Amino acid sequence: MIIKELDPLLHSQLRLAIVSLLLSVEEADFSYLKEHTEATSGNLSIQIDKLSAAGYIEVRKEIVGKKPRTSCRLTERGREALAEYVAALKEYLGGVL
Amino acid sequence: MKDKKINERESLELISEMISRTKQGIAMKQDYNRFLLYGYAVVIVALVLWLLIRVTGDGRFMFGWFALFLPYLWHMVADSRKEKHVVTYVQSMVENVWKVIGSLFGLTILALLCVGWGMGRIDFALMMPLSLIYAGIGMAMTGLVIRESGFVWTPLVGLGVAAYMLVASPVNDWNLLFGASFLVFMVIPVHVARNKVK
Repeated sequence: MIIKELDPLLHSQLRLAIVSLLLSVEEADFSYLKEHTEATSGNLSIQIDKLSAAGYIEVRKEIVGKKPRTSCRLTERGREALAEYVAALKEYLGGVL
Repeated sequence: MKDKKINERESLELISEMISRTKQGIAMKQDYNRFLLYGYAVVIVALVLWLLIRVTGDGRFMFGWFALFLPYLWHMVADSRKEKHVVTYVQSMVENVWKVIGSLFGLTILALLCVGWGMGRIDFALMMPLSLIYAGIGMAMTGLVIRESGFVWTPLVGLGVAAYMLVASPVNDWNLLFGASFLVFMVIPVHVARNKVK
């Protein structure tokens, strides 16, 4: 049996956490993601850029009440990638699950 | 949390942990304040106008209903200042439902103005039963989205009252009936729903 390779972009703790958080919401901002992932701002920012460059998430930057606000939402591509990733994980863990 | 590789089992655990964290956080976040703001504003305006018209007999007090634009403006300003860290599908769905209902209110005012202007007499009386129907539909749709059965069925009272207004009731009683309907299908169900969350 050929087992699919795990998506390297998602097979990282922080990026997977970001995508999983965005799965259940329409949109979340930077501070919400920071609070729930407990990551540093710098690291979170880098991982958001990587996911955005891959088209997995959409990033919107705006000014709300004189403060900059970055909000992220999962794209259809990101949703599909996560579904494929979970399917691949299940294949890997097939016997155990 | 860092940018580190994890094994397959940890991945699955992380996904389910993040999903459940989001769900726990947002379950409590349904914002009922705006319903209470509009609900109580309608009840208070209805009572005041009913009393004023009853005491003075002056029907021009009916223009007092335009005071309901004040909570709308207040809500718009407060909303633009509020920091929203997360928007759920449910919140955005409820917001869109009320955008449609709000547009119906706006279009109806515009239509009554245009028709009234053409006929030489502007009469906003129809706004009251129509508003009961629109707001009732909005509450019922909100109830379906957030799965709150009190929101879904109580607007039937508003629909019944709207029909009664159009068929049988004298116009000054409309104020009281209107306020009482909002109390039944907006204020009370919202308090019940809020108490469930507490």
